[in-house]
Amino acid sequence: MARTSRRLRLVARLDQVGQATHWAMDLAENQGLGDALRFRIDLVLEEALTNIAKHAYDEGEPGFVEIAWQPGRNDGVILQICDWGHPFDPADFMPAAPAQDLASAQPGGLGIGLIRQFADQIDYARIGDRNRLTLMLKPESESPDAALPRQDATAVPQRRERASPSSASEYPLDALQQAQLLRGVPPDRIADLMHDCRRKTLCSGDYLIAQGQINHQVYIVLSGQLSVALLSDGSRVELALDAGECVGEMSVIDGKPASASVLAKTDAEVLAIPEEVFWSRLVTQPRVARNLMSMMSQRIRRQNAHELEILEQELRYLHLAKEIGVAHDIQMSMLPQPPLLDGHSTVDVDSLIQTAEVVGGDFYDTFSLDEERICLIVGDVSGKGIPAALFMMRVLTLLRTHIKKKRRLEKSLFKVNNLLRQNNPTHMFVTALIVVVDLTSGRATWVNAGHSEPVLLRSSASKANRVKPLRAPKGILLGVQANIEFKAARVSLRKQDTLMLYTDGVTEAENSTQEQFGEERLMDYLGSRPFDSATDLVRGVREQLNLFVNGAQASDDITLLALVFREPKRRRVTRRPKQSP
Amino acid sequence: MLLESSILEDGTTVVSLQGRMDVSGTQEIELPLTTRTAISKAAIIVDLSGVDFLASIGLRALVSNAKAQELRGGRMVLCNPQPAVEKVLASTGIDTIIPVFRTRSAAQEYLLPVLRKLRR
Repeated sequence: MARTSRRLRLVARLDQVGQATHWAMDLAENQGLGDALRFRIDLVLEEALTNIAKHAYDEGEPGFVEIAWQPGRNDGVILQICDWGHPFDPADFMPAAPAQDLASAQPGGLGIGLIRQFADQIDYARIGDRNRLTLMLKPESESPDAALPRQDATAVPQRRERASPSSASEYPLDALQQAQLLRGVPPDRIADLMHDCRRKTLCSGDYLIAQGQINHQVYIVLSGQLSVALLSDGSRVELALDAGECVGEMSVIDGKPASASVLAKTDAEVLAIPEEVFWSRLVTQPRVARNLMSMMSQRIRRQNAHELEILEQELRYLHLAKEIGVAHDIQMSMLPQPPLLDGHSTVDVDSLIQTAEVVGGDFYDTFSLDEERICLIVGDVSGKGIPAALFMMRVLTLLRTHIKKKRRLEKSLFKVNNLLRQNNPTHMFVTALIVVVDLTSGRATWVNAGHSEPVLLRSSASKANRVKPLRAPKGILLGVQANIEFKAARVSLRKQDTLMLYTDGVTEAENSTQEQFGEERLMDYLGSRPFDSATDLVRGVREQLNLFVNGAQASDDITLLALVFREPKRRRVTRRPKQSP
Repeated sequence: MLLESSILEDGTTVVSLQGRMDVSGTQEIELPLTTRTAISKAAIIVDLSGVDFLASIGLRALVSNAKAQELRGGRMVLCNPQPAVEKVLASTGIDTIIPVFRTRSAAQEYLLPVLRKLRR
């Protein structure tokens, strides 16, 4: 299954902050970070995002915030938080001096101070039009999590035995009477039975028995807690053993090596009963034999219940994996398959979509409005997984339906945006670029709803001017705010001109050193050679991207859609009967 | 977040909070917290034992209510913070302006003179 994405993009709004901290806590848990560090990550992220949600963007013009998670050195974490709002360097912000008393205290203004105190290192940079805040957090060395020794069942067993010899008077009768194995046996019998047994103390983390070890002792836990760790198929099952329980009897009974490792979870004390004593003096007692059998059957029951639980989990997982596969299939089947706009011989269109996760957020669409006009769309839905896939289907359907109504493109988008706002409790949104091309005149009309700008490749221009991003009023993303008026822009396509639409996964593709592909590299490549078809172009760009990322794991979907305007379509002339003069 | 309040035999109001005092959690209890701690003059203990996360927005709510209560002539104190929450209170210096106690009984004892004053 797909790993949890290490990059999250949200609308910078207070009600989205919880989603981000939740996401970060999941990653922290996956990375096995301790409680104290997790609390600090939770806090600095909460404060940084609250600050951005409140101050980065002007009221009524919500923008994005993007968070990247990177495991740092020595179990630390590096959080990078970007927004495209007003420049803000936290170093310039002077937190108010702590108030002398409650009467003079000002509520609020504590967030930045908290970030400074709970992050180990803070770095701020203004890069182009965005703020980039980098927060580094390391585990505290004195935290109890760091102090605990790591327990690994495959490690060489270490023994620190103490106080081995003991006399009969030292037998802890009280503890033994409570032992499962000895239940119902009179105290004086126990003392007698225990002749030749040893007491053994263990420090937390010590091994009593290692998996695979030959064992000739049965142990009764007198105090503390032991843990039975079973490694099989790469998974680890742990069972706790408390005072009174016993361990080792299985390998003593069947003479096989220990089936699991047993180690001390806390400082503990056990009584070691040698094999001979177990056989000759313990099991021969009817009461003990009965206790032993009831212990064994309890253990089998426990094991069965556990296996049933694992089986259920596996079934649930398989079901989920299948469901995600279905969502992916449905999503892909919504997108038109090549050859695109096959009925229009005067244009050549091709696309490419590459999803980073099983169910991604990118999409494209191509369809005809009538014989002379075609529509091309590229977009990116917020979020991942099944909810994003379902939202995408809604977006695709709404766009197709409303653009086909042939009203002005701006009006169609106004309508679609308002419809997407409805029944959208999780605040999903979508960025999109929509182009309508009139095939007879070559006039392309487009609207940009918070998306990357399209690129125009002029066939006739000089090399320097051949490639241009089409700058135009960038509208707000769809689904966020009601009653947005979109502005359309226009450009005339001439013979052999090419239009390319793409998603930000292209320009933001990163190589292993976190460098982005960027718009400049894209433009340079597009200007570097002529392309003889839409297919040639999208494949060429993909090759460049693959060379650049060089095997680094993609964090976002990549979508390209290209149109080559071969020649204007001849208008079908309807002849009117000649009128006599 | 959850909020529960009760009045002890000696007249102290105890407000127990439970959950994450982050943006959304604080919004959930902001109104009931203010009505129980800042509207009328009283001796109030806010029990934080159930609060496992405290962000600046939560601190803001605590400070503004404690301040309002002080202006009315009563007092609001905090008790039983979890270690991580205690660290947030200390690092912002809030513990120097709102008294924080490890136990509820210590908070009650501290509030005795306030209660006497209120009864007069």
